[in-house]
Amino acid sequence: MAEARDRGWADRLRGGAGYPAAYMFVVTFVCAGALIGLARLTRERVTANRRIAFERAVLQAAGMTVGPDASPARVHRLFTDRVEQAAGGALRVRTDAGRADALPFEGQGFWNVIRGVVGVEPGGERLTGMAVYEQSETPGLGAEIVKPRFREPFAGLRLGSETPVRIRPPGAALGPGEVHGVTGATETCTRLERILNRRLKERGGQDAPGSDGLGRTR
Amino acid sequence: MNGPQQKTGVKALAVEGLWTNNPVFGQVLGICSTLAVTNRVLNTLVMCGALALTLSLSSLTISLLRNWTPRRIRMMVETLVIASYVIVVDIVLQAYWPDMSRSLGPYVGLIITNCIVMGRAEACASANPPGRAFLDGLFNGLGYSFVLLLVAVPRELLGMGTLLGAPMPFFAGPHWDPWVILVMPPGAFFMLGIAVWFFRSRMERS
Repeated sequence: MAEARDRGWADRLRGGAGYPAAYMFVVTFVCAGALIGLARLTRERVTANRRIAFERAVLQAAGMTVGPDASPARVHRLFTDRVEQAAGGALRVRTDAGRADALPFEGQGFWNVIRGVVGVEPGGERLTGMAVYEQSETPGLGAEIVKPRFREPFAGLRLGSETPVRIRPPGAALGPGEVHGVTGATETCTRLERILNRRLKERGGQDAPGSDGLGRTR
Repeated sequence: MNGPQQKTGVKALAVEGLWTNNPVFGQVLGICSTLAVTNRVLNTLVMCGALALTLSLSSLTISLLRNWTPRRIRMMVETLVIASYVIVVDIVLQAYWPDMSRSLGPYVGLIITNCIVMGRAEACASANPPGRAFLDGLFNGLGYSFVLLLVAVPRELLGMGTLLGAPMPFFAGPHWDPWVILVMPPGAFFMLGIAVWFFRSRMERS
């Protein structure tokens, strides 16, 4: 009897005109609440992960050996000890070999924004390295720009006279300022090349009169 | 799940999810991520784990809600539940495995649009009790996973000479010229085509 009464109450509730809207509201409220709670719980950790990824990229771009196995604490300590803010959004890094200017860059990649850091020697003649810390390129193809195999040729790269950096097809003969790209990731490489050159030219424009536009002293 | 001799029980669900009604070579669903993430075995493993978790838990939740969900808004509710579980996976990866989160890029988020998840929600979870819905989701997730791994292992091994990122004897050496095409999108189509042909011809024989 009681069961039948309960079923009648539930059926009346479900038959109401406003039930679908109210039900959707409750389900949305519960799901959104749970997700907001989880996001708040992990917010600090996610922010710290992003910060460490950026710090690691700055050190790698400056030519320091900071592998993926280096602990976050070590990366943060190195960054705090060696890096200071410089003009034009650049960071000045005291490396074991001397000094490097780390230039954070960002721009539109094939799928989403690519963020990274490119390092330049104080004279502006050569790069000290390049590292990407945020991207959403195709896994296995464009996403290979984060790998050492792609990054390492940027260390010590002498900048080109017209275009500072060119990313050429794999196997092509290389001239000054040129590195090999990733097979099957032409779009990502083209866009990264554009982003890098824009940032390097911006740096050149910020230099004192007498520079050649790429941060190099005449 | 249809047919006059509809079987019940865990074994029947396992056979359907893994073999006779396999999501990849049986239903030909979830092909986008099958093609996209299978050039690395580690990425594939994480993707499979994320999909199996989302599929089983969303099926369980949708089944628990099925008697209360009005029929005309059921697909909105199913999408909301699936999206919530996918966002949970995404947040956990960002917080505890940031390298993998960066490596998989947009594909974790795209589980929401994976036809397998919505397909199982509609075909099974919305009309079956929670235990059966959960197992159906789990076995479909495992069925998807085993085909993806069969596609991923040769792609990474022959295309890059590594497995789980570790260089393999002979394949990482100077005597092996990597089959780069296998790592590229056409390689995924070749491998998937071979896998579907193989399993379908086996199914027809049995």
